Amino acid sequence: MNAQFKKGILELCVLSILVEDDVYGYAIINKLSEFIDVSDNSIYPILRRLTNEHYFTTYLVESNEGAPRKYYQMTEKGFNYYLELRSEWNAFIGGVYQIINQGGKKNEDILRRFKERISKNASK
Amino acid sequence: MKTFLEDLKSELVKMQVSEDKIQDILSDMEEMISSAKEEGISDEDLMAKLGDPKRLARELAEIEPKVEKPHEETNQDGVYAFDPIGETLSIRTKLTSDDVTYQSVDSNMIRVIIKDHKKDHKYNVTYENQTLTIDEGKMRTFFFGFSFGNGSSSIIIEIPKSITIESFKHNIVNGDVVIQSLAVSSLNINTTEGDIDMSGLIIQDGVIHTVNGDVKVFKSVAKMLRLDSVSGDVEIQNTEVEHDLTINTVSGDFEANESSAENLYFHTVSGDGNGVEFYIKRLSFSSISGDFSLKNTRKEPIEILKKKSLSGDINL
Repeated sequence: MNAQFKKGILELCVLSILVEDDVYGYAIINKLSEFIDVSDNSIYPILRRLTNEHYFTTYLVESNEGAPRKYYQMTEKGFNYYLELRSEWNAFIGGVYQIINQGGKKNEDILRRFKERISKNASK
Repeated sequence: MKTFLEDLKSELVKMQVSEDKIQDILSDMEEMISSAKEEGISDEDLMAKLGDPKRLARELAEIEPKVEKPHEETNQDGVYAFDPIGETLSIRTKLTSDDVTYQSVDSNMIRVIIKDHKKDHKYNVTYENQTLTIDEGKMRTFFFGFSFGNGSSSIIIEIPKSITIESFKHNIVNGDVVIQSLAVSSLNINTTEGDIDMSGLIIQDGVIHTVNGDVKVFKSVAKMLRLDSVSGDVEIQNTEVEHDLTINTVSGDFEANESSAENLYFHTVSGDGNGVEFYIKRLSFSSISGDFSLKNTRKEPIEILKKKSLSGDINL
């Protein structure tokens, strides 16, 4: 998949997690891994960039074991940005949805028409 | 794990990232490694999660040197007023996620009022050649070069009563649109998610297209009206369509109350159609599983032009 495109989607995924709650870095990666493959450290640069852009602020919380954890918290600016990305994504997906359903929603209808076309072409 | 951190550090130094940023990044990495270890992740999985230190360093170096640019200051009050020329007007709106209300007013000025106007939002509002155009000036390019709007505002457009709208085009992704008491020759609305609410309109030819917004038409008169929806519902009340009323839906339902149309073309996959006191002369109905039913007190014959349904029923 195009790297820029994937980056944009991952950014929206990260924002979607932080819109619900303050979460620390590793837990964000874990939450995303439940649904998508993020095994190449693509998330940390996103967190860092969005923090630099003031979409997130961070605070440290001592953990029972190991290093203190840096929690990411969404700012109002971040929230507005999230809404923008989300609506653009919805528009894109809405368009894709329309394109793929142009021939109807049901696989069997599409398959039937495809078969008809194939056999028509074969008989020519 | 030590090697990963050392490699990352030397790569960041090479890329001239400042000392304190490097410290910050390394401590974040240490924190993630320690969190991962607490969960009992294997070294192999952890290495896969951390990825290539060179690539990570390159990506991080790209982020760091950015300097905050000051925001552009734009029109704070967000009110635009125009003296109308002539008795007709065309409207072109292309927005992303703004809620827009069009209404007729007694005054003789065309006004565009942008509420909740944020200073880093920018709209282009122009009135030239009897055409009012509203769009988003500054667009950022994102996924694959399609662009982002500037967040959302609520916009009110006031149109003097005396003016007839020749051509009306409203394109929006997910803002709602409300249109009240306007006379429009050619109406065209396109939305993905926003709801459409129309009342008191006089339309010659109207085409409305939505993916999953709901459409409501109240107390209006139209010569021709076409409403297309994928999953949004369509509702018509106290509305008269002189000629053709065309409704196309995939899964959205269609409801009509105290309305009339000469010809109704209703096509749906799985949406149902329901009419109460809905008088039509001719009907063309096709569906896969959707039903169509009418409950009228006056029994008038309806000519069926076409009826095609896999498992849906017609009840008149």
